[in-house]
Amino acid sequence: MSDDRLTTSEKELLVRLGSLLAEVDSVPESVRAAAVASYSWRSPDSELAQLVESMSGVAEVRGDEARLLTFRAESITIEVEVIPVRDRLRIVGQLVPPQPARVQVEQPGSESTVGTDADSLGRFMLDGTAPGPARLVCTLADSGPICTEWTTL
Amino acid sequence: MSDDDAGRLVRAAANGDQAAWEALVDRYARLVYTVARGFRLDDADVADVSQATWLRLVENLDKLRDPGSVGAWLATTARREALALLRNRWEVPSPEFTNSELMDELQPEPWQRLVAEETDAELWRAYRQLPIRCQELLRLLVFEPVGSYAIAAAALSVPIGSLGPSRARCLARLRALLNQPAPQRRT
Repeated sequence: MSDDRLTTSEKELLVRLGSLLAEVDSVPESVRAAAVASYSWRSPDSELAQLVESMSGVAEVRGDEARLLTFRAESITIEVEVIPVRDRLRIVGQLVPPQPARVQVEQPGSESTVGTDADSLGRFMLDGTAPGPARLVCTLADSGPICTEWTTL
Repeated sequence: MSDDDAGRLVRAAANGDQAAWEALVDRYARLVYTVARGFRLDDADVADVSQATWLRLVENLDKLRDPGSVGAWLATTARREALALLRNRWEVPSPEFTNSELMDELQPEPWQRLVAEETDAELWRAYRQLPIRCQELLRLLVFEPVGSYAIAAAALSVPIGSLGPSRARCLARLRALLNQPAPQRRT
């Protein structure tokens, strides 16, 4: 199974082609470094909220095109609207069931983490997110952190 | 590296072994990059797709059903991330691109030709003469485990069973081209 029954000469040819393509088609160092650095975002102790719905091209009040994302964990659903504001993104969210929480946006490559407190109705708003991979981390009063799946915004 | 080795690296990384993680990146960074580049994405988007794919592996390290098939999992994930990004960008429902349609436009950059001439000019010349579909398939078959149908099928989103005859045919054509005398150099 591991080599799907290649003949020796077929395998030799592919290995030779592999060395050639590795030279010709090399991965930029920044891309490789980002892949290595991804490991620092490991958070085995947090609960994962899965992306269960994604709708783009939703007309927003002021005419901008928003994107609606729904993440679901066992105890909570996180609904967010992502609205482009110039070259940044505004995230307007709602926790269901409504409850106060600390909400942060994490982005690889961004030095600081932007955070806010959801109000007693579970609503929150975060400005200044850069387009690219991001996740939200919600810390509820009575449980450990809940991370949304990484999603490219 | 066999499937077993890949599985061991995944399990070690899931247990906090940074060196195992870097070994996985060394093996598969170019696979993820190659799949992402198969779509019509600019450099920044290719970087985002690659980053998102590796971040998703981090969050799924201890959840993979078959850690030994992490190469195929990465290929599938990179493809999905690329399609999601395109869908999001163009706001059209689920366009099913095949890489080959898009790759028809890919021509080697001049510097690629130079590097290849230095590395293995004869093989490069033969490879570039292959039909696009063969080039596309073979470039996905060089990752460990070498020749794996699972990785190529995941990257191209085709059934594994469809690749056997193509792999044999493309390799035979490559060998035939290699055995031809090189064309006269034009100056």
